[in-house]
Amino acid sequence: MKGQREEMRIDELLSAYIDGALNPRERARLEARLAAEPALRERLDALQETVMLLRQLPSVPAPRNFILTPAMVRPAQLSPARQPLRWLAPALSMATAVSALLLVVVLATSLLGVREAAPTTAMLGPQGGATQVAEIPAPEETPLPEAAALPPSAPEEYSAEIGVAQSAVTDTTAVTLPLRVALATPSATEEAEVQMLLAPEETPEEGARGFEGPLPTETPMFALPAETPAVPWLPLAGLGLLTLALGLASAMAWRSRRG
Amino acid sequence: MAEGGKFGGVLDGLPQTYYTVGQRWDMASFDEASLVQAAQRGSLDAFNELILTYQDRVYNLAYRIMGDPAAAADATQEALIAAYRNLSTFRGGSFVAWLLRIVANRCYDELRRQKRRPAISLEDMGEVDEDANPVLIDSGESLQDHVERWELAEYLQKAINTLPHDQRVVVVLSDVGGQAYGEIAAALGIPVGTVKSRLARARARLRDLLQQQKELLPAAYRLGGEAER
Repeated sequence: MKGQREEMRIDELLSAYIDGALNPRERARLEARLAAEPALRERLDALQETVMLLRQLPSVPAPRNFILTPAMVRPAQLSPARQPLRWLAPALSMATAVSALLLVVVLATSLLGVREAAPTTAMLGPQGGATQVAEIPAPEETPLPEAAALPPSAPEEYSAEIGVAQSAVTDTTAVTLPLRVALATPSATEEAEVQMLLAPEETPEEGARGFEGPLPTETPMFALPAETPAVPWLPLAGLGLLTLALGLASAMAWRSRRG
Repeated sequence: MAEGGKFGGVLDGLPQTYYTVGQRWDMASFDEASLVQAAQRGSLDAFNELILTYQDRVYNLAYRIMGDPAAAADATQEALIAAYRNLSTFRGGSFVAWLLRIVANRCYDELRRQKRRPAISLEDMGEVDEDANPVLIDSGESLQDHVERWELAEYLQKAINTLPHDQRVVVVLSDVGGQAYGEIAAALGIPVGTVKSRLARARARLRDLLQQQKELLPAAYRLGGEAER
C-alpha cells in the first residue's frame, strides 16, 4: 500500500511536470532525479506519450445539427412543477432560517425560564386517606431567603390563584406566592399556604395561611407551585420538525432549480 | 468555423419563417462577441450560429466522456439548451470553453445518474461504433496510417471508458478539451488539487493500458522516441 501511494505520488509529480505546473524548486528536484534515474525518465516519457496521444485524438464530428428551435427553449417546455421554483427556492430558504431562529429562541427562553424558577423542596407522601398532602419543611431545615410575612389577615385576602399577594408586603423585596392546594386530607390541621420566602420571625404555623376559593383548605400542609416551569417539548418538537421539513424542501427546490 | 456547405445542410428542412436569409449573420466576419451579446439579448438565431461553429467540439467532448454516440448526442443537445437558458451567466472569456464546461457537467451528471460501473476491464468493453463516429481521413495520410490511427483512437476510447467517472471527465476536459486546471476545478466544483490528482491517476491508468498494446502505438512511441511537446 505504501508502495502504491508512492507510485501515485510520483505520477502526480510527473503529470504536473508535463503541464508545467510545478514550482521552480519542485521542477529542479524532479529534473535532478530524472537525470539520475533512467527508470523514472522512461516513466515520464510513457506518460508524455499518453498525453500526446490523448491530445491528438481525432475529433469526432457531430452526427447531426444541434441547433435549437423556439419550441426547445420555450418556457413552457419546463414542467409545470418547475415554473414557480425560481422564487420558491429562495422563499423556502428564508422560511427555513426563520423557523430555525424561532426554534432557538423558544428553546433558549424555555431553558432560561426553567433555570430561573425557584424549585420547591416539598416532599410528597401519603397521609391518611387516599389523598396526598405536601409538607412544608421546617424553616430551620430549609434556609430560605428572607421575606416579609403575610399579615395575619383573613384568608379572603389571598388569591386562590398563583400570583403576587395583594396584601401589604413590607420590609422585603421578596414575593410570596400563595399557592393553591390541590388536595386536602381530613386529618390535616394546618393551613396550606406555602410561602416561597418566609420571614425569619415567623413560624410556619403563623405564616401559613389558608386559601380561599373552591379548594378545600382544612388540611393542606402546604401548596405546591401549581405550574412548574417546564420546557415546552411539544412546541419545540413541532418547530424542529418544521425546520427540518423546510430545510429539505429548500434543498430540493435549489437542486431542481439548478437543473 | 462552420463552412458554407454546413449552412446548406442546416437550412434544409427548416421552415423559412424560422431561419431566413435576412437573419443570417455574415459568416465571413464571424464575431463571437457580437453573436454572444445578441444571443444574450434573446436572439436564438445568433445562438444557433454559435452552435454551428462549435458543435463539433462540443459533441466530441461529450462523446469522449460518454463513450457512446447516442448518449453523447443527448448530452450535447441538453447542454446546449441549458447553455441558452443560462446565457446570462456567461461573463466573458472563451465562449467555447464555457460551452465545454456545461456539456462536461451534463455528461458527468448523466454518468452518475446512470450509475454505471466506475471501472470495467478493457476486455469487457464492446467495440466502438465505427459507423457512428467516423474518423476523417487527413489529406496526405495513407490508408494504412489512417487505419492505424483509427485503431489507436478506438483503443484509447475504450481505455477512457474504463476510467472512473470523476477521472474520465477530468482527463477529457484537460487533454481533449484543452481546459486548464483552474477551469476544470471551477466547472466541476472541486479543488485544483483534486483536479491534479484525478488527472494524474487517469493518465497513469491510460499509460499502463497503452503499454499493454504497444503494437497500436505509433512507430515513434513504440521505439521509445521522445514525443513532441
